[in-house]
Amino acid sequence: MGLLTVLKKLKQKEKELRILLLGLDNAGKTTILKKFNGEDISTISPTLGFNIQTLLYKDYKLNIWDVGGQKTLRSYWRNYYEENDAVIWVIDSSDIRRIDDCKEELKKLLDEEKFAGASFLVFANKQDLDGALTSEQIAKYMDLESLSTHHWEIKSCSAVTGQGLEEGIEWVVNDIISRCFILD
Amino acid sequence: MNNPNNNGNNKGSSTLDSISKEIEDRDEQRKLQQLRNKEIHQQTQIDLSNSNNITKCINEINQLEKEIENELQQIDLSTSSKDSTTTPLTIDSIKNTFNDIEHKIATMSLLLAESNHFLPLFEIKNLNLTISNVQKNTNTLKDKVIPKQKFSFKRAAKSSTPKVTNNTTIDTSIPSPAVAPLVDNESIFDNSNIKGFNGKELVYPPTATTSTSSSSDTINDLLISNLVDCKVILKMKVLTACKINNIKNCTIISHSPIDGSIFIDNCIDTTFSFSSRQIRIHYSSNCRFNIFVKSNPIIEGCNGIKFSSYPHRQLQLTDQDYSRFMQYNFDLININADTEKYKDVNDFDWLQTKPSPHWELVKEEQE
Ligand SMILES: Nc1nc2c(ncn2[C@@H]2O[C@H](COP(=O)(O)OP(=O)(O)OP(=O)(O)O)[C@@H](O)[C@H]2O)c(=O)[nH]1
Ligand SMILES: [Mg+2]
Repeated sequence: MGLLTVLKKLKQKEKELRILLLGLDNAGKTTILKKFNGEDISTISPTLGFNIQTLLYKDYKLNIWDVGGQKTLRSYWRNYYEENDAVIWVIDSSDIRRIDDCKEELKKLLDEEKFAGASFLVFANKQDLDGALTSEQIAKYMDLESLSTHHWEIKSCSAVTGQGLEEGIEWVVNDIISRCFILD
Repeated sequence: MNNPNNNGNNKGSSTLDSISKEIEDRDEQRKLQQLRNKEIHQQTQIDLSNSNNITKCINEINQLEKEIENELQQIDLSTSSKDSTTTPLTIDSIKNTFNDIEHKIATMSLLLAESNHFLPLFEIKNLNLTISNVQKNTNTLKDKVIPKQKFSFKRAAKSSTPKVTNNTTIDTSIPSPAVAPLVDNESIFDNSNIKGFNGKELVYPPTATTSTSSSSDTINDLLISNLVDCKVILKMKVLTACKINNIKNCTIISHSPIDGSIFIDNCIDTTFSFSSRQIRIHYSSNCRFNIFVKSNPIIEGCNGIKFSSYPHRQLQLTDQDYSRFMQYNFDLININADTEKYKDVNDFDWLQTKPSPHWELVKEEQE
């Protein structure tokens, strides 16, 4: 194979990234995706299984797997653990009552070996709500600081206003490409 | 992902070849894994459809129930007993046990969900009852033994919010009902909370703030919890998010649109009238929902749930009300894509096509 062909091929392949989107039910996962994509967010139903959404960001094609977060679905999450470039964990920052539940599910996820090497973003969503915890409070409560197994970042956002979404996605994409083999 | 990017740019094509091979391998791997996942999924379904599994499934759920009841009893004994021969459990170990119990309950629901298609109907009903009972018992005990204030982030304080605290409403001489709420008998009625009342009629937002319309406009996150025998009427301009839990024998009616989700957990014998984007109902029984909703309502761990349309005529909404609903795209009057959404309920414990036994549609109540 000639050098140019290889380069071209490489570029094409590398531009497709696989990202897993998880979090408790009602966190706002599906809303984040639809909002980012400029679709209507007022008629989204709670996710019954999963859906795959392709987002185009800069030159990248992001295949995002959005898996429903209801209790009855959580044991199926593991079916989606393979081969992700990044994991995005979405939190309803106003849901203080279930924050322990959230912390526990997150901990289980981080212990999962299949995510070794994946970039890890936490979206502290619903920042537009009065009762929302700040991303600092969440990072502290969730013990993210002590997390050394992953490249991680927490970003506050609101899927309703759109604030913070792009910054989050940008971090994910940059973090993935800085780790993967990229030829300029 | 083990290929470091510290190779110089001028490497020969052999390196490139190997990299591109690696990428192809990765893609190949992904495809294989996807196939494998599919197979595993199909396998578990086939395994479960074997009729031997009927008894196996029932036994397993019942076994889990027994274990949980035992654990609950132990916690109850150790925390309520005054006799010094039983060693008290530490709060950590109690929490751990509760985690364990919740895990078991989730497993029970899952087992049931997976077995819906081969279990006889009356078994499903029984098992559902079993599960919702242990869930209830667990919640009750948990609220009793684990201190309420698990941690105390303050809500982004709205300094202007007057707190109408009402400690006199709860008559402590009446034995508390089987539901947890009254253990914690602090009553709060402010912009973001309606909590801890018994036998009251409450009109929200608190009157102290309705006069300053600016503050009632910005209400966007309301928590309603721990109510027994109450009537709650919501009359704000609009609400963005609403969470409701631990409610028994109440009526909760909103005269305004909720432009976001309503998250309901652990409610019994209660009637709700709402219009919202999403309605999510969890671990509740014998409740009625008169709703206008812009997506499919969902239930999980529920029993005896009735759905009907939002009674906007009975509520005698004014023209002003209707136009406020319209402003947030809730068209209550004309037939439209949302009019019948309330009928398309998704039951997370019922993944088959025949109707779920956990909910039904009912006619709108006549005056
Ligand atoms: N106020 C506010 N509401 C939000 C925000 N993001 C999502 N929501 C609302 O939260 C509710 C749940 O959003 P979904 O996107 O369905 O949540 P999900 O995480 O996909 O939930 P599952 O599919 O059940 O796992 C919806 O009613 C959204 O409108 C936000 O940033 N702010
Ligand atoms: Mg969803």
